[in-house]
Amino acid sequence: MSAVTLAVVLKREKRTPEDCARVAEIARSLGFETTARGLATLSLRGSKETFEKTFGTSLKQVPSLAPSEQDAGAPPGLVAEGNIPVPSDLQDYVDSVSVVPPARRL
Amino acid sequence: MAKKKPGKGGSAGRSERPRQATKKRTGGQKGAKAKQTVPGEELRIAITFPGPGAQPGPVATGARMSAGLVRNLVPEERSVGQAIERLQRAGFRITTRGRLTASARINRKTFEKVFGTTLSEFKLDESLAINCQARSFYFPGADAAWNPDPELKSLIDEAYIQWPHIYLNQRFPVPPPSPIPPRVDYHHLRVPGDLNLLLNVSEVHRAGTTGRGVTVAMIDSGFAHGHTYFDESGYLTTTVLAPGASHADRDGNGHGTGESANLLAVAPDVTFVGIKLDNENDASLGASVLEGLQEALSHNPQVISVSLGYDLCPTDPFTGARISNNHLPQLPNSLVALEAEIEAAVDAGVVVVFSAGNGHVAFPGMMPEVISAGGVFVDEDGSMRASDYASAFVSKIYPGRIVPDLCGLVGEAANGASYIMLPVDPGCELDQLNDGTTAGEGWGVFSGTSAAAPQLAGVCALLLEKDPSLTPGDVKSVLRRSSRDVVLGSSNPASNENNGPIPAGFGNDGATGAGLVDAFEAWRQV
Repeated sequence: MSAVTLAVVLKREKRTPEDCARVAEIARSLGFETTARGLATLSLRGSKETFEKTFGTSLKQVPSLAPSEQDAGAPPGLVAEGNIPVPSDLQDYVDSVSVVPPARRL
Repeated sequence: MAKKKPGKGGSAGRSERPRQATKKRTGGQKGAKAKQTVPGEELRIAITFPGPGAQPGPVATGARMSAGLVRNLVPEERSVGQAIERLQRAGFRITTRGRLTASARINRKTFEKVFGTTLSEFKLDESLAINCQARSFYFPGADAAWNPDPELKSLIDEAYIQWPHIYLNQRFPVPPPSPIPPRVDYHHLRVPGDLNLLLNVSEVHRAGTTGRGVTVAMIDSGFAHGHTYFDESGYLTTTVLAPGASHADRDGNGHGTGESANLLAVAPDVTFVGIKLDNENDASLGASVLEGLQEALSHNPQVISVSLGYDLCPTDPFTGARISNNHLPQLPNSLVALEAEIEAAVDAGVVVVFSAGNGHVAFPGMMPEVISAGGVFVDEDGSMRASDYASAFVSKIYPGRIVPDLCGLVGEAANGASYIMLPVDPGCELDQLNDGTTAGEGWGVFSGTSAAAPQLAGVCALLLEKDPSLTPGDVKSVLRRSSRDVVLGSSNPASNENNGPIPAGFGNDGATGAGLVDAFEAWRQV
């Protein structure tokens, strides 16, 4: 079962520990676990199936890229095929939800 | 009494290499004891005794052992005492006793006399790379006589020479890489000396500023800091696993390990926290850059260095190839969270350094809040020019933002930026590059703006040691106004939409920004 990593941008006024905890709780009820918290964002993980069911958006697997003349490659990952709507339960707290694509090693 | 030789699939082979007495480190661990290459004269023997009523003991029974059978084979204490007394008279030194067995030591010559045999040396097959207690040991050869002392034969069940045991935690160790880099026959730089010379860091170190007390987080593939180069250099580093990452001591790609050597060369005494992103078992489970950044921030760093990024041109996600050179005019939604987190980090006072790209239109390297690290190439004769491998462009997403801010040392496109000899995890992806080093030896020659970012981050740490009150804006300003102007060369044309390479020139220019970082001049100005 593939895992998908989501990036959640908190509304400016909701970047407090209490609101972060509330967002994490709502995310858990949707089937996503909070893996890390920053100053403005949360990271969530869940299964591909849960993601597609929750957001109605499909995911595409992209392969890893081997080191090349230009860079040291990139790991594999999942990317979303369209925009991701913010679930209604999260709309008071969250500006956006996205799937983070794999980065290149420069 | 049985005599056995190492059998097929056993732990010993029959390699006929010349006998050698030199000791070498083979364990792959600093301080590991050298393995024995000549068998010891003292043999370790396991002894079993006949069962009660002189019935066959565990070996002579020939049956597979079970708890029930073993209970019936516990020897009588009186007969064990007799056997031990006879063994001691024969020259055995009993070391320990169990309910059914005893362990003993005996000199090889005495063993041969007691059992009427001749022992041969067996050597482990070095090609198997088994991490064993000893590399060779004595055992009766296949055709050796076996005429044990009759009295002793009647008192014991069996006596076996114990084979050297295998360390199962490291069954197939890779020999440790050398802390000294291999030679290659083209112009390249070595860490830390060449970097410190060309970035004018040595003077800062001589003044006593080495990054002490400054916490720097680096987010990358992994950090194999068990490499002897890091040990020998005396660096103290910590590796933390970002969500989903695995194996804190490994780096299957090699990127983070190598690039971190750039940072530690410049600021050897920083409190280094490596945030590992990659999962060595299942690459798809590794952490995102955002997760890495979130993890980094939890360690309260003053500086964060990231040699990763996204190419903001239309790109085929399956091959990584550009579809066109047109820059995206808007940040993709998938990267907005990363942008927000970086903005918040810089706003909180953290200096954030990103690579400008190697022809990539690199994000987050284009963000105005970060220090964007470009590339300058310094030739054998000391002449400097803009690296044609490093990106330079004007951002469409952040109007007026010119990338890079200033530069570190980066190679040129003609040889794929093979420029800095860096330690990597032996056998990793970057250890396999065709760069003149041998695959598996734990060194690679590479650079890119991935090298420039940690170089600049190291200089940031030096400035913050001297003046911890500097803001991210202060640090960037000092670095830029103290840089050495680079007037020759031009940037990587792939980064400049369809307008070709950007030339370097006097003063700030599009190719190198403010030029090559000058650590001493920056430090002097703080």
